[in-house]
Amino acid sequence: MRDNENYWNRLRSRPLSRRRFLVGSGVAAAGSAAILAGCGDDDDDDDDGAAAATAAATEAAATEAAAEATAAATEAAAAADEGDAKRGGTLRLWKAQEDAGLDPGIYHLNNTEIIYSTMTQPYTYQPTKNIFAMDGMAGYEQVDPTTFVWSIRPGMKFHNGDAVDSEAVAFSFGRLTKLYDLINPHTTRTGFVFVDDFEATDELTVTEHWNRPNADAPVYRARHYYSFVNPRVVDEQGALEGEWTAPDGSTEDVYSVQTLPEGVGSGPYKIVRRDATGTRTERWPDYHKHTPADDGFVEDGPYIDAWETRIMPDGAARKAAFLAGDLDVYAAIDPLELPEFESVDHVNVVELPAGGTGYLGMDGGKFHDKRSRQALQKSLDYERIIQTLWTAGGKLAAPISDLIAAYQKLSQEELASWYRWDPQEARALWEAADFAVPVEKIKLFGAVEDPLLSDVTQLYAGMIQEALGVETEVELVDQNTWAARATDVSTDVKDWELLSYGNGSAGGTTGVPNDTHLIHFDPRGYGLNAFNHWAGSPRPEVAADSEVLIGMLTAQEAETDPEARAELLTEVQRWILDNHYCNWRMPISSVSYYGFNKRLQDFGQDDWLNFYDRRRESMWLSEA
Amino acid sequence: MTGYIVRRLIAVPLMMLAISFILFMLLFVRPGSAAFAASGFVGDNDPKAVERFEERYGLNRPWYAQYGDWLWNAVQGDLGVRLTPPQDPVTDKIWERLPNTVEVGLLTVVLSAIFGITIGVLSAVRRNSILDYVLRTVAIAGISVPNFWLAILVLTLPAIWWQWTPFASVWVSFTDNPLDNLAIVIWPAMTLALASAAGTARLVRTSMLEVFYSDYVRTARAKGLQERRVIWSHVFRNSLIPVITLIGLQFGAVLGGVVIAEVIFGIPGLGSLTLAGVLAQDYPLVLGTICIFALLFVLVTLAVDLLYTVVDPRIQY
Repeated sequence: MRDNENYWNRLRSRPLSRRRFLVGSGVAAAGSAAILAGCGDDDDDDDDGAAAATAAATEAAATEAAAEATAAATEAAAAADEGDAKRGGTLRLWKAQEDAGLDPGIYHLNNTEIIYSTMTQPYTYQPTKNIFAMDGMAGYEQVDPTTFVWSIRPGMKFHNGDAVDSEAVAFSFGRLTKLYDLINPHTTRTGFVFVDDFEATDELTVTEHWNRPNADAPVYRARHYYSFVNPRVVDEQGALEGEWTAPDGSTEDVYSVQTLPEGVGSGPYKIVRRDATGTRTERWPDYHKHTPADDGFVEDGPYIDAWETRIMPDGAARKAAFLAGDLDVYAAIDPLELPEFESVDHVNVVELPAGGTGYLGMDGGKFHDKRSRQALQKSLDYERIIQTLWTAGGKLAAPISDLIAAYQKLSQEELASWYRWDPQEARALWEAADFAVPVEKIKLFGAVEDPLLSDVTQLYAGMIQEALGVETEVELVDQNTWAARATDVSTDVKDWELLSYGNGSAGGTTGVPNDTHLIHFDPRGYGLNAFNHWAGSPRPEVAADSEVLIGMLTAQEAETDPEARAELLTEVQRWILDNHYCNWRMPISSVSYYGFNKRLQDFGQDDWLNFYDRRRESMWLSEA
Repeated sequence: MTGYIVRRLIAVPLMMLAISFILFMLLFVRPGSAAFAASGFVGDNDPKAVERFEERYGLNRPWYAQYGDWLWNAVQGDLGVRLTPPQDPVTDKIWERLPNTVEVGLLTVVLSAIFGITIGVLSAVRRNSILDYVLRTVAIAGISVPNFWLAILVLTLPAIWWQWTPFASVWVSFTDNPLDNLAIVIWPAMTLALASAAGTARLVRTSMLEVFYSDYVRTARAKGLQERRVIWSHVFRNSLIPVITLIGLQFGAVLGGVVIAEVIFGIPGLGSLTLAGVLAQDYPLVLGTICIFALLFVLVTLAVDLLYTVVDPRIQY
């Protein structure tokens, strides 16, 4: 993590490129020559020899400067030509369903192609490189542990010409808290619960005042929720969501912009079509310059002219369209289908590190005794799971993703000490365990939409039944019913025993340990919502464990020193694994294969799965 | 005749009432609610979210209050708003999607009738010939192949073999460009039509063979009429009644199949909208779309009944 760094520090330590050096020295030399020449003209020194020497020196300097300036101009022209050659074309994407609204502060699926292309975010974050690249912000600074100051990029405008200033940015960020309170959208609540207020300090400065330190704040701010919205358009054309009451008792009307009316965004593209068949965004010619352009940005705006996104609910149709060359991006490719994809000329199959998710969540109402959870975990043959499911390679999964390399210190060898198949010990633990509610049968509950998840769940069920001698049942229902029954907190026990979700095949990370994947163990997160593992549990041992874990989670989140935080996170993980708390990450694939059209260039493939997909304005189309 | 039509039209609202009530109750007793689809699961750690959503959209009221409200608004042409974001009017959404579904449905029925009747007539006229056996085999295959599987093959095989697929990367509506639109819609329509055509062909063949040996056909031949005239004026026309019934019923089946075809071929129709509503437990959307499907089916059935009188003057209502 680079919590103590800011943009200006990075700018100072930035390596000087040849092009930048030539341009800079050319300009400096030409300027110096002009000054010297001007001085010579005005010089009325009587010493002819000195004058002649000065004139000769000036001429030589001018000649050299002119040559350098020419070289610099040639270099710049070549770069400009190269840039021009990259410009143009339409990026062809797909999504499975229509969006359910476009307000960037409200997390709904199937809208990011619009939000990424038409709105400006503070910056992008690439977890594999651990770098922030400035977009709408010019820099930021952590002034003290609870004060965070933003510098807004000057000269930005919304699509209707209104200036993007600190008032607009403070409004955009502050609106999230209010939306959450009123309608509880999917905003990353954990990204702002530590913030007291967002203050517009001066025209281009916004200051966040926090009530406690937070190590993840900079990474959170890279997410699309923090897109800048035009306050005037939101107030005039937004839909009233309700009256929000501030802590001081004052009230305020809060609006959402689910249709993104004209002028609400300031991104490089504008929406030209949005209907049941898909969306199209096209270049906005007045997009602000990125000077200097950080990694992934282009000074004069993105190379690609337009994005066309087709709604394609069916997987076979997506595959056909991709193989036919009608799409630029496919998705994760089943390893068994690799030869089929690789045999097509225009297909670029990229191997990406996989951070897939596969979980078995345990109902704390029934499995309150640690031994029962331990028995379940020892009844699973992890090697066999890997061999059966992940022919291209699999690995054990810890409570936080190993894609966050700076924080994940648990090795596969160490993880293997917890992920140990031992049917005899499992049965002994099961028989010794205390059950407040008798468990005669173990129901594994999952969603039916994912065929691989269905197979995976059946595999787990068979292993558990074999090891424990307890009857198992797999129940798969539609996604919505699954979510409803998973999060039903009306009783102390669930109508299932184990919640199976995530097939483990592919995934990425935001770079925030909470997202990947501590929230699945958090007694204030899924522990509360889905697994009856929370501080208010009627089972005393679960309640006590939950208090301990909350303390550890809070401590690591507030630790801003990366090394110290890594240690705390390792402790948290060990505690979770030692106590078999709440949830169990199942083995996942260690690689994933993604399909891209070969014409798509510089698309930031390493972080494509890490919420960086399509955020790269420097990507271009080779046949455009 | 007029009295019959009036009686049938009076029955339509009663049927719609029954359909909507049964549908509502099925959706109501199902576990979960639209609140989960809207407020979601992933990333949400506030258990009050669902309660707030239900309060906001009145989902915490008794079933009869919710259904009563919906019904009262529906009879006034307002089918409510979608419970899933962006909570836009269901009626608008249906009007936006309905033409595409009707287009696919009609094209399917037309193609099915053309192929089915042609194959059936040929098969009957050339009965027990090699052509007959080949056509009957094709018909059996058409009935046997599930249309979703056929649709997947139609999309993927050309993509693998020739890097071309009939899936339209950009949708064009009929009003924008009829020819381009037909080039898109013809594929799902043909896929759906294959199974229907196969059924029609078999029925046409059987019906025609029954009529072939009737007395009036023998009389027509004895009068010295040309074989072509015998077949079209006497045999074919008199074998049409069961065929028309079948085509009418097929329209209902096509409306069901169109859900799959729309999803696979990416047609923005009522079928894919219904599916989205079902998955999200969005009861106003599901009620609205299925009621429209039901209404279409009822009207087509009425049209088929009236068509009998044209084909067979002996039938009177």
